Parts: sequence; structure tokens; C-alpha cells
Amino acid sequence: MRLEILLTALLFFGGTCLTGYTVRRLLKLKKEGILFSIVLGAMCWWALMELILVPMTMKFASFSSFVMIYSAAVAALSLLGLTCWQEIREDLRALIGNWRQYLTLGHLAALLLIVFELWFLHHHMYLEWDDTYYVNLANVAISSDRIYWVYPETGTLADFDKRYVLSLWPIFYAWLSKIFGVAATVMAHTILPWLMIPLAYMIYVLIGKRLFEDDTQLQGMFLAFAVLIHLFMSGEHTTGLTFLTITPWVGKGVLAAIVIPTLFYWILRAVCDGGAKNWILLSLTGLAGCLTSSMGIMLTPLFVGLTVLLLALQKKNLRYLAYGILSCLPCILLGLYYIRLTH
Amino acid sequence: MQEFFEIATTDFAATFEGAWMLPLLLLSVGLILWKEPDRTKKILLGVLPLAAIFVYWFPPTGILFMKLLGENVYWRILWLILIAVIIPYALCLLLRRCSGLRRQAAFLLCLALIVLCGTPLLASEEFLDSTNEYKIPQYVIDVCELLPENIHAMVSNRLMPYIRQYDTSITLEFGRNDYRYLNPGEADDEVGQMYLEAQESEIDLSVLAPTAKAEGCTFLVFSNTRTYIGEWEDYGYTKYASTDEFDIFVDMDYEEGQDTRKWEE
Repeated sequence: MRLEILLTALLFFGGTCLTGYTVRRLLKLKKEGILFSIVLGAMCWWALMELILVPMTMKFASFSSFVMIYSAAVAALSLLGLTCWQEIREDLRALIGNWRQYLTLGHLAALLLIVFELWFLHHHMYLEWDDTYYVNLANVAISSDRIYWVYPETGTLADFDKRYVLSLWPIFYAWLSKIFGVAATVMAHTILPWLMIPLAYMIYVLIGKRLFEDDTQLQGMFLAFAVLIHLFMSGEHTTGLTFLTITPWVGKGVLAAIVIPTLFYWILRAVCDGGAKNWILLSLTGLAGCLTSSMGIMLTPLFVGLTVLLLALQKKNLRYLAYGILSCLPCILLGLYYIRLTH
Repeated sequence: MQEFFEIATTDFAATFEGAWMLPLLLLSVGLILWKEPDRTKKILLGVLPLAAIFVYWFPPTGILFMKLLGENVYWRILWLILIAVIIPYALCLLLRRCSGLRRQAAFLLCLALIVLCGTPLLASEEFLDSTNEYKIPQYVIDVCELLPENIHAMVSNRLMPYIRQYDTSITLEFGRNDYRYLNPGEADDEVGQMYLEAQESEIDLSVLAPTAKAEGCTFLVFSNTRTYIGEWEDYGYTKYASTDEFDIFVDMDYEEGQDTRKWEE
């Protein structure tokens, strides 16, 4: 199993990193670092998946054809990233050159906590009631070669549930399972935590860097606090933070613990840097949120709308509101379609 | 309106109970609003969480989102409060005033504060030792190893959520949502009666077995603590295998390797 975890992590983090460099080149984003590329690449993968998966599901395409098309798209984006070798080399050089800066008590504490969390989760299991539906949705996609025709809990053929048809996150790990020949249940429960937990904390690294640009010590401390809050403050199941530790494979957990903080990060950048680039990234992340959960279709525009409204009022500048609404357009369109489907 | 406040209050309390998260959050927001010199950061880290709480509690917005999201999951609006950004930022605002060893010591104190105010999630009883890479209960795998592929089965509620996570070639008579039959008055059909009978500690085979056979349940799996009124053989079933916790019965008409999966077009 260690080999499968390692290979999946290599594919995910390597692929998303290279994809991130491709997008960075397109948007002319320089000197952002490797973690930035990984986060950006992950959002790009998921947004792309939503764009490909929704029409394919509606057209009753087979799962294997989805795997082929999506793999080709992801491979193309990743390979294009290889052409950015000069920027990759620069980022690596900067990382290696500045490594001592990150040798702080905060970073060390955060690293220890993350390693402990991963170790603990690797040796324990959490029986999530909803897995009966979601994990089986991935299992069924692989075994039946149908994306969403089979009722996952019993295996009977059924019309798809309109509540979930726009947010088929389990197909993401079904895709990974298909590539590595691992059962989707194993991919979700045993391998995915090794991808989702580090990814979530990478976002907190990026947020910390933005908030305390000149103080790496505080960046480390911010990260350590964030990790510890995930481990200690998550009193109840309903708290969004809880999902990252108990069920990091569940779509709504990815939404709460990864996508929403990423939206916040892009807004933070957009406000500080200006320019359209960050709003494009925000839009991409909104679309990624739609894949993770149908809640993402509603919560993303709500979060972005609320934030840009406050910023527009503070700055007395309607530009923020306009950019915010434009960046939520994919979510708004999907939201209207969702309402049409469900009401 | 009263219903809205009842739901909102219950969900709000449920979200923040079990840890001193809400007081710490409110203190952090207050600190950010008071001490943060940058107005934009003040908006994003201080005003935004308050605005999310306002949207949650303000009846017009609350009722609207309750309708859009659904009453059962309305509390998810509270995910928009980035607790793991706001509290750490407020603590770092305090630490920014110190330097050197004092800052390191204050950092350790803040870590201790979070630990003391929180609930250790990893100590939850719901985390169980993992015995297999599927991370499902071992008794499920023990049963699945005995069952042949491509069959239709009716299984104990303890197995129901996990069987198909191990082997999707097994189709099940009841899924998780078939708990609807437990609602009074909704189990007036034979399949519902069969479901309810399967929940009894002493199962009357004259109620359960004929319907199971008619519905194509080739395999039946029940906890070995169950007792039965009647003989399985009289209803066309026989014992197939056993595990430490479960007994497996098979339709006597079943032939090894036969595909009995139930697909409903």
C-alpha cells in the first residue's frame, strides 16, 4: 500500500504542480513558488473535471471514455508545465536558498502535527455513514463503466439523483483508482488523506505568507495554530474543519477545508495585488467547488458575494463587486441549472 | 419565523458545542477589529465572519438560504467563517508584539490555549483501529470473502453500509435509505414487512422467507444472535456458511457461479 500511496501522491502533486506552472505562464504569474503551483494546479484539475464531467454525465457517456478524455486533458496540461522548466528551476533555487528561513519553531511544530495527523489516520479508520452512497458511487463507476446510472447503495439501475449530478466528486477518486488499479474504497479511505491533508495545509502556508509577508517566524506560527485548530477545535461533526481529519475523502469536506480557504486566498491576493488574474483564479476555484459538493454551487457565490460586497463598500469601488460577480458566473449558471433540476 | 429560529439555534449550538470555539472566535474577531491597522485585513478577517453570522441569523437571508440549501444542511453557511484563519491570525497579532524567546514562549502558551479550549478530535471513540486497507469493519470482509460474486442479497443492517464498498458485484435488497420502512404506517407492503421482520431478534421465517425468495434474494445474511421461527429448508433456503458474527443462508435453487444480481430497468 505504501507504494500505491507514493505513486498516487507523485502523480497528484507532480501533475498539479506542472499544471500550476502552465496556468502561471498563461497568466504571467512569476515567482510564486512551488506550493502556489500545486494549489493552483489542483483547482485547475477539479475545475476542468467539472467542465468535462457534467456534460458527459448528462449524455450518459461511459466512465472509461471519461477516464480517457480527462487523463488526456490533465496530461496535456501537465506536459505543458514542463516547458516552464526555467521558472521551476528558479522556484526550486529560491526554496533551497531560503530553506533556513523556514526552520522556525512554528514550522517545526506544524510539520510534527501534520505528520502525526497523517500517521494517526493511516492506522485508524472512521466509519462514515455517507460512504455508503459516495464511495460506492466511485466503486460502481469503475465496475459498471457507467458514471451515474446505478444507485450506489443497492446496485439497482436508477435515474441519477439530481441533487448530486452536478457535483460528482467521487468520480475524481474513481479516476485515480482506475489509473492505479486500486479499489475506490481503498483510494478514498487509505490514499486520499495523504493528498488532501497536505494540500489543505499548503493553502494555510500560502495564506500565512500573504498575511505576514516579512515574518517567516509568524508564518510558521500561523500554520501551527491552523493545524492545531483542525485537530482540537473541531468539536462537532457539523464544523467544516472536522471533515479534514475525519473524512478527508468526502466532497463537502474538501469544499469546507480546501476550496473555501482557497477562495479566501485568491480574494486576499486580488485585493492586495489588483488585476484580473486573481479573479480568474477565483473563478476557477469556484468551479472546482461545484465539483466537490452541490453545497459548493451555493456557498461559493455566497462567500465571494459577501466578501466583495464588504470590500466594495469599504473601498467605495464597485469594481470589486463586478469582478466578484463575474468570477462567480460559472457557479451562478450551475446554480440556476441546479435549481431547475431540483425544483 | 419561529421555526427558522428554532432550526438556526439548534444548528448553531450543535456546530459550536464540545469546544470553546465560539468564545475564542469572538475574542479573535474583537481583537482583529481593535488592533489590526490594515483596513482591508480588518474587513476580511474581522467584519467578514460577523457578516456571515448576520446572514445566518437575519431572518430574510436565513429563510432564503434555508430554502436554497435545505433545512437539514442550513448550518453549512457557518463554514464560511474561516475559524482556522481568524483565530490563528488574532493569536499572531498578539505574538507580533513580542520578539526572541518571549515570542517563542508566548507561541507555546497559545498552543496550550488552543489545546485547553478545544476537544482532541483524534481521541474520539469513533476512530477505530484499522485492520484492513479498505478501512471498513473486518466482519464485513469476513462475510464478503465467503459470498460468491454477482449475487443479490439481503443483509443485516450492520453489514448494509459496507458490503458494496468491498464488492460491488453484490446487489442489495435494501440500501441505507430503506430505513423509511421503520416509519410507522409505511411498511404496509410485503417488502416492508420483510424488512421489519429482519429487524426482530426472533425472525418468523413464514413472514420473511417467502418474500425474500419472491424478490430474488439469493443470499440472506443475519447476525448469529438471531433465532428463527420455522426451518429454513421448509422455505427453500439452507445454511451456506458462517463467520464469527454472521450466518449466511442461500436459496436452494442457486447454482454455484450463477448471476442473480437484481437490476431494475
